[in-house]
Amino acid sequence: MAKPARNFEAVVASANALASGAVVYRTAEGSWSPHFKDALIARSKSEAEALLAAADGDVKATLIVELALIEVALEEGVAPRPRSLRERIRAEGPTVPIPQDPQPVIRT
Amino acid sequence: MYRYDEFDHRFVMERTKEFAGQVTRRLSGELSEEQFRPLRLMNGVYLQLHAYMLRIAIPYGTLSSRQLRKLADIARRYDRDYGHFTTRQNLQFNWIKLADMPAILAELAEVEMHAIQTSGNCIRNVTADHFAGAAADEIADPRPWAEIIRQWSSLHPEFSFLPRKFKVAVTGAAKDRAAIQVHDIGLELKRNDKGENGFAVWVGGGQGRTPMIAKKLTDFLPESDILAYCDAILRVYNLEGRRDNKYKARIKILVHEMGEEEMRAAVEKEFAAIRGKTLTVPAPEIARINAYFAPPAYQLCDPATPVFVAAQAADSQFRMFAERNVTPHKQPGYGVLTISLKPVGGPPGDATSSQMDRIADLAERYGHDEIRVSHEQNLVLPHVRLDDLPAIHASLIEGGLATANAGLITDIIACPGLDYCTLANARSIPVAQRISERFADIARQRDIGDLKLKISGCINACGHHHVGHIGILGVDRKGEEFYQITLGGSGDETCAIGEIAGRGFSSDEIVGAVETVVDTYLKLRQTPQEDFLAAYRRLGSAPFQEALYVA
Ligand code: SF4
Repeated sequence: MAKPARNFEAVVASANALASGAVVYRTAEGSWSPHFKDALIARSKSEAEALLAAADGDVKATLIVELALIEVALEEGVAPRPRSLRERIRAEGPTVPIPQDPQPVIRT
Repeated sequence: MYRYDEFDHRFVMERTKEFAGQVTRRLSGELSEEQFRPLRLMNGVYLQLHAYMLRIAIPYGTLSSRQLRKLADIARRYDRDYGHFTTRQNLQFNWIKLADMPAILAELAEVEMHAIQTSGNCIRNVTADHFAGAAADEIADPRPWAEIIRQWSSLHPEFSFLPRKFKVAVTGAAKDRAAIQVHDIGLELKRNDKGENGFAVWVGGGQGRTPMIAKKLTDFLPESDILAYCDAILRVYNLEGRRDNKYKARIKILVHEMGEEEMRAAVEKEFAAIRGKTLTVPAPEIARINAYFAPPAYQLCDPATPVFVAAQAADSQFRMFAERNVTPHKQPGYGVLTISLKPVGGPPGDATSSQMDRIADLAERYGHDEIRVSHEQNLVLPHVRLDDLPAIHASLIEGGLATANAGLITDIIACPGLDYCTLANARSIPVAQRISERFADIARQRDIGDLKLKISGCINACGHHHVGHIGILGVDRKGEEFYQITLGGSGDETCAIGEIAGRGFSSDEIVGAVETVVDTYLKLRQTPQEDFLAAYRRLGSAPFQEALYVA
């Protein structure tokens, strides 16, 4: 594998699935997964360019929209995570719970 | 309530069919995203962080039980079982699939609803006082006029491609609950000494990047001239408004650059040319539309409201609820009920489908089948008998809807922010949650009294922070969330844009900073009756800044 160039931020390709709008990540197999952990991480400029070019084919094939490369934080001993809060929220969902009905009240 | 006529039915059906075709062509690849984006936006469909968002128009915030049940049903079958009520009196679904859009819009059309003109550079859904037709202090119901303006502005060919979006709000009371002075056009329905109805017309207000208070172009315009006058304003704007810079394209910038006098002269000139012609609203038409908004058939009730009085004496929880969430009604024995969508720790403005169903049932059983959405992101039952309130309250408790905080510090407006919105710089909802948890003690909230706290996740100001007594604006500082505090804003008839207190606060600091502001107020108020805004206006920003930054 190519050595990471200095100042190069590792990236993954992300998009929204056209029909559902769901957040998806490009995998090593060239498919799209809803899970960030399945994303192929590009660690050099050339890898990133190749990833983007391949993914772009699916924009044309009307599978996805809003394709972008997003930066990934790579730290020893921790699972890779998107660097920005915005992308972490896209990957992991809202940071607030989805509203739910209250538990039945027991009246005294 | 207004019912669709032939024309309404036809245009909604035609548009629904047309958009269904466009969705199919997009999914098959016939349309590119660039081609499709403007089409979906014309139909209220955005692509947000996690999914498509559908914004549904609720004209002047008025819903029937049947319509609210339909929204609940869509939430249950097509979304994650909840919806979000917005500061534009609309409803947003956050998790909709594009492929489901045509079916959803067809279902909405069945109950006379749609998502047209909830986005794009057109005249948006007209908003109105959420207590319209009910409040004791009202001069006349503003909704017939909101409806007349809706009909005039729907699919208006000349005004479908304005320089920028355009928002109209109408109130029928001197007490402004519709924030008319921060709208592109704000209308106050009033009555002159001859007993005739007319409008004070305000132009060029707005929030966002460049907040401005509207200028009053005329203090009394005969009501039948309102469309001609609005048309004149729109013509001036359409011609002179800037199209070269999206941040300078709203009418507020035009009014600011032209100046009030010149703007008035330009509008008067256009108005003189069209006045008395086809845009004059004929008296029979005014009467016809007014008939849709006739007061409900009030039930007989004992004006002494014995059940209501006894329940307050027996149950302190109910008494506190009645004190905060019930507003005087025109009709003796009746009240206007605010159902707070701001439970402590909950996302402001969200309701689950079963909560929507419950409120629809209550409206049907006790509330003459009417529900309102307030721009403060609550729901309102405008006509309830005070003697029915104890029963309603019991049901609201079961549904997690009995929070007795209307108008208090935890009745927070918050936009979706970075948890949902692609334009956001910072999160809004978690800040609202933490503030409401910090101030959860209801006795403390009641001691603080009336206080409007409003949070936006970016300068677009969907959370109305500029007019919050305390406003919070989320900003991004080198990838970190920061929050700027503004003080002394107000969206009512004493409209003011809040002043920036000073440097922003980190996410960890912001709740404490709000508490510092509140404690400073409590320390310095002259009496408990002097509310936060009054105290701020008397004291100015200095003591608050000192407490925030020096102490
Ligand atoms: S204020 Fe900004 S972050 Fe909040 S909803 Fe509006 S655009 Fe999104």
